Amino acid sequence: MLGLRSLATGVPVSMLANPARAQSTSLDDPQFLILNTSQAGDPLNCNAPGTYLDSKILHPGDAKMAKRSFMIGGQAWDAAAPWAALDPVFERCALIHHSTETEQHLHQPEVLGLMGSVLAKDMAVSAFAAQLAPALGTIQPQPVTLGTVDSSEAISFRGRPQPMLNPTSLSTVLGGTEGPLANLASLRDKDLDRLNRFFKERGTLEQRRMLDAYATSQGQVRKLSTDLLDQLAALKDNGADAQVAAAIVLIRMKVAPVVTVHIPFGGDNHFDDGLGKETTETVAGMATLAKLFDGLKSVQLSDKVTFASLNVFGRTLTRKDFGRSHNRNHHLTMLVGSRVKGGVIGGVVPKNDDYGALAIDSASGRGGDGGDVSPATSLASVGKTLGAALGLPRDVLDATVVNTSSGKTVGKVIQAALK
Amino acid sequence: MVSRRLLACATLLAACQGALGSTSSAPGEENDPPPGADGGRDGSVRLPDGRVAPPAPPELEDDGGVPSEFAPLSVRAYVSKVKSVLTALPPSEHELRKVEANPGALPDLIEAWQATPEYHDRMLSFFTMAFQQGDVTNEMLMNVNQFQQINTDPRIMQNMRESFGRTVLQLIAEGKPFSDVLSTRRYMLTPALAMFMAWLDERSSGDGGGVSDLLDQELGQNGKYTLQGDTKIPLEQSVDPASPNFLNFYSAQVAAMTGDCRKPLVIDRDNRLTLYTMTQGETLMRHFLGNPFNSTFFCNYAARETVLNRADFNSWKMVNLRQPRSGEKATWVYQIPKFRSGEELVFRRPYVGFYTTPSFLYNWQTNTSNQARVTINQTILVATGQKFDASHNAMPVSTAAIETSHAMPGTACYACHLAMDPMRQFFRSTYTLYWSVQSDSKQLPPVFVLGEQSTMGNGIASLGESMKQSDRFASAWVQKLCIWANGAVCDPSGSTDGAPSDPELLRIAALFADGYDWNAMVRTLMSSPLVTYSAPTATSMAQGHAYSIAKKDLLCRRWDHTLGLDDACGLGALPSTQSGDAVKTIATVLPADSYSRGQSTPVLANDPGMFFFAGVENACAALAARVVDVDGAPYQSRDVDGAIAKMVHELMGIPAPDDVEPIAILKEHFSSALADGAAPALRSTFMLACLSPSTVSVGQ
Repeated sequence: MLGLRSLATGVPVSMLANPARAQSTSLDDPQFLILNTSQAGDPLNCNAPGTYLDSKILHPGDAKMAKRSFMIGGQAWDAAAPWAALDPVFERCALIHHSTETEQHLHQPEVLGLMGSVLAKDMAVSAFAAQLAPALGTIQPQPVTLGTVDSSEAISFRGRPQPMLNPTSLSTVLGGTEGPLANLASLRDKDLDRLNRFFKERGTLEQRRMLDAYATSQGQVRKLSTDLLDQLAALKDNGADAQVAAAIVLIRMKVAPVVTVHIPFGGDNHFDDGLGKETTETVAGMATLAKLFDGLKSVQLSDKVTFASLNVFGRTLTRKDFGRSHNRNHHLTMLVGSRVKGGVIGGVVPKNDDYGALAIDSASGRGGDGGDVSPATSLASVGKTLGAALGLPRDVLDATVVNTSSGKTVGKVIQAALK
Repeated sequence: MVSRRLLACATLLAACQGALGSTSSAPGEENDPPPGADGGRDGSVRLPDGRVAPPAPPELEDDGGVPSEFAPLSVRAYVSKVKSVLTALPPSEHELRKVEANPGALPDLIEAWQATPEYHDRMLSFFTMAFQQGDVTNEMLMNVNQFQQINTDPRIMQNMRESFGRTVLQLIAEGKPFSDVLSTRRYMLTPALAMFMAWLDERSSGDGGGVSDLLDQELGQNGKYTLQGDTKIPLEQSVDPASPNFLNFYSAQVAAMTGDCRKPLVIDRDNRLTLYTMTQGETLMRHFLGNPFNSTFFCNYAARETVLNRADFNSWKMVNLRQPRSGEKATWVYQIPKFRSGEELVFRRPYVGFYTTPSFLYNWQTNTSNQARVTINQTILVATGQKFDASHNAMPVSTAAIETSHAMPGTACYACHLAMDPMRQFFRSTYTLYWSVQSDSKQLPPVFVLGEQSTMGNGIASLGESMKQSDRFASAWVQKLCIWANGAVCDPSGSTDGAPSDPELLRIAALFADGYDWNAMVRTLMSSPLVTYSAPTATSMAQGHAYSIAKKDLLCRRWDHTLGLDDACGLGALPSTQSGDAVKTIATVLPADSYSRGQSTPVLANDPGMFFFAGVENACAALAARVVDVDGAPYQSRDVDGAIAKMVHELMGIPAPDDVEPIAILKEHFSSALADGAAPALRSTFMLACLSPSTVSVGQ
């Protein structure tokens, strides 16, 4: 049976028999991931390299957003001036023009689940996190979510929603007790184990599972590195800068393989007359990214951490409402990491009464007719490309990103975005 | 598999009969076992002394899936679960024995719990969440109302969030059917909230935006008001247009100032426009609330109370809200005595049901592109648990409102818009995009389309009346309550996407639909195996049993009730009195029950992950400093035995005779820790109890 399914799907029998095969410590240079994600569908796609080739595309008139030229992947590209913040990382930054195939905010979880194309209907970053955790030696496999604007941005792991945290609460939540109570911690742990046993002896299987999970979380807390907690305590707000600072600390503490943040780039700007909010937040957001990459460099993590930005959708490249509206046909995913090759992948073309993403040639990265990655499969392909950038083998990705009805693998790794 | 299903059917039948709820007591004394009974129906075993031991746990292979055999939850565990869910309190030994002797006694116990203030608190929390009233923020108000000042008084925000939950509780207390939540025009309001709503009402914005302040128009070019601390003018004169003291208010806040700030504050058209660009109503309202302006460029009024007083934020009354009759004026923002009297108020905006409250409408605000689609979608989700899905919709009786530019015929989107667009007209024909009264006569009339129903609507109130006819209303609310209790969907599919199919849930929904007696439904559901897990149900056989951590509201209430604290987590409107309170900080990130946009199932964060354990451990440490060896605190090291017994019985919720081992563990812990001093030892012992699985979760 597995053999037939393997023939049908192209996924190796070994993977079908054990999709969790990649959960080993043998991955080659596995990467941590910091994911920026927004259910607002920010206009990050609107002033990016690749959107200045068509003069009809709307850009803010503010001088701070003036067009500038940058070298990305050995080629000159125009973009809004704030993108200069990424100059130091452009050689390892892939900007992929594609589609998320939705224009509904409520599909944020579905987009992170590659529109239902992840094994067991998980979110892609959670499936990747589960596979990366053993190799990275993190305390927990679940992603950590920072800076969500509401529960629609919550990350689920194997279908289980994860807590929504913020930088200012982290040191209070994770910081240990002090004084005499700290001295008694090991004694309490021992006696809490006794209480757990008391309940387990009386419980049903499912109650015992819950108790086991509780005991596991207790053990995870004890593995936390306390010397980095002071850095978390220094964070005094929950803004984007604090989120990326916290993400770096959590990765240094090896808390989780994936940390998600929310860096605003203009938000849900239907009524952004004059695109003032888009300007302000793009300037601030790019500055935050620069701080992130500087921060990673300062602690020698640039080659260990990959950054990605994936929102629910992009925004219209022309004026709609009083600002920009939702765009199901165009979104920009940003990947920055040691396995990522600098370049602009794909492009935009007039579609309906706005613009949409072109098909992508996965080998060259060029956009246009005949590309082997169609807009309809581009989100799954971006997911696979992200997985590859994180160090996951292709057969694992083929088994993870699948049509959950047919079992066939969906999308393909966009090799042009990778070294 | 076949045998398992047969077992399920047989036991289901028995369970349904039991859950129909014999409310008669067992014969004989309260603690007497029923005659001839050797063991509990839950698999428990009767001991020689008459007590009942919990069932032995099944020896099953833990493959992480649904157990291959049904294992009932013990009486003690499920009574504890139900009482905790409904009151955040542990059961007493007496209550446990009563149900052990006669499982049919549970509905009677629930009825007694329903009379407690703790049940009231828990239901308020449930209704606030389930009617999606709890997420409104000041920023949402600013977006729609174009405020000039950033901070709406947090007490007003809290009043706004709680108002509809309190309304539902009052309707239930009055014996009204639960279906009135769809049609009520009476709301629980505080005088302060009523005043705020009067201000919202006088602020008018058309679909194109901009603000027209009707009070400004009423008062005219020379309109002004004064706040002064020199002459105590009766409030009735200050709000009487015929009085020479009209709009001349005595302010205790001004009276408390010195220097220039002690002088009368006169706000006229010139200074309010040039200095603050506010409307008359807004400045007036902010003065009443005590936060007139940013204190960095004006007098720093320390006192919070000006014309309104503290009681104006805490005294709730049921108030009828209606629109003005011909020639009648609406209630102005300054008419404080009317707000205090609880009499009928006249607002231009129609208020009806849960779906027109400020907290609902500002949470689900709309725009020119969305055209209130999000608002109607959330309304239908809350009322019936249904999403717009063309697969089960009738053809609308009129398709005129369908925007083909938004969705092309023949596409999946069009199928949804077929129902959604005519339905959104309930809001669009009534309100502008800024929730003011709609004056655009070109707005098309609404059409109700849901399930097999499609009828022409007539105003926003007809939306509620049509939703009452939905066959999904009753089951949706049984489902919401069941999810709240279990932390999991009560359906064999594990999803709320389709029509409900668990026979037990459908049975309870049918009972509920006959009169919509909310408290009776609570009793039936909470004593049903859907929640007690005392017998198999179609859901439990397909999905297994769900166990959850105690979510934020439950855990915080549990701490409040068992530790004698008032708002341990700082969930109230005003800042906690505990400076640098770690518990409040941690509480902000504890998993909570909440609904996301477009979802019929709430976020179900049930797992005790690392952040949950770490957060609760640190919260327990902070609480230890407040409840151990502090004057008036429940735990004192001069009475260690008493303190530990209290911890086990109340905080951990383990009554006798199961308390022997936990008490021994806690006492041994105290003894081992004593070298560090009695107080630290007892605090550490408290932390142990506070971290007990029975304290931090539901159903252990």
